[in-house]
Amino acid sequence: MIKTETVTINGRQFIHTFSDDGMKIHGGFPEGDYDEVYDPIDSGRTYTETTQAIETTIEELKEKYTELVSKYNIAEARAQRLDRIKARIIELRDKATLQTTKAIYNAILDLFEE
Amino acid sequence: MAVTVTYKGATLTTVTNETKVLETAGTWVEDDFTLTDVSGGGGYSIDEFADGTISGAISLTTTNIRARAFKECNSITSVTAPNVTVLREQIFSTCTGLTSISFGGATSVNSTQQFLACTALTSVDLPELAVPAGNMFQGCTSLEFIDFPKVERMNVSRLFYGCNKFKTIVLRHSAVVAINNDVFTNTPFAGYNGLTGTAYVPQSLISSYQTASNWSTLYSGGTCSFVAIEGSIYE
Repeated sequence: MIKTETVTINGRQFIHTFSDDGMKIHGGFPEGDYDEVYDPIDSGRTYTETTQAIETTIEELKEKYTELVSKYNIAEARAQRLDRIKARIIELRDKATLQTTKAIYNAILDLFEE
Repeated sequence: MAVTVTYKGATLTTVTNETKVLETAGTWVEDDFTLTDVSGGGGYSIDEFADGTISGAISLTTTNIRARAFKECNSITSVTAPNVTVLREQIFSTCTGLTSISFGGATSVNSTQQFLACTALTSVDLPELAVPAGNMFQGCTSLEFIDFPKVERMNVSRLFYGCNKFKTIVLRHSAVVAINNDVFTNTPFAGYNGLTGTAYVPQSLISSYQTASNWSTLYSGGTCSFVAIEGSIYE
């Protein structure tokens, strides 16, 4: 499917067009097949998705793999942090009394601000 | 320039029955080595050259070079192959000593990465090529200039990616040459290291280039300028 988004490059806005299925797109100026395209925001250019997949080299795949690993590591770190927060919330909940409830609630909120 | 060819560890001065590759693929003529056919077939593999054993300037009269034929032949300094019509995958990739290429009859490409990471390459002569390949010159970190007389489009992936000194291109086609978004990534055309690039194009097309797909981001960023070929040193 064709996707578009407005992006700002060097202080100017452009329309970024690409296929979310990794296919080449057709259109633009000059008209042709592109991997992805940036056009002036007022250009009014339209694109269609082709059936030709974007060719990727081994090196590019390695780069994408490295990028994915990096994203995974970040996500994993966040998940571990959420696990720690959850455990702390349970711990605080179990200690809660009528007198300490508000303080504990604030302490839990603070966990998310860390 | 004389060239040295070794095969199975020995320097060749004559062609013998043991030198199967050369026996089938070419002839050894005193100080000059000319390959008459490196297209493969006939039971030998031109890939056997791809071990760095050829050095110096080579002249090829063949019409066909197999993919990866001279990959990583780091001692080759220049290549002239006027009869080759199709530039195949990685034919001279990672030839780190290669400074000059001349393929006067090459009109098309097959697959990608023909001269990938030829880090010493400074001179490119492709007068008949219509559409270059993806990654064709990626990582050619000494390349500063290319004149593409017949190139009609460059909407291929990472054509000059990482050519961090590449600052001048001459595009003589009579219409705007399409580019992929990453053709000039990490080059002066994209502002690499604070540098800028210049595209010499026909005067009548300058305003069209400025708003063309993908070219427009380079132009608006101030890192790519368009200059008329007419009246320039490239006219």
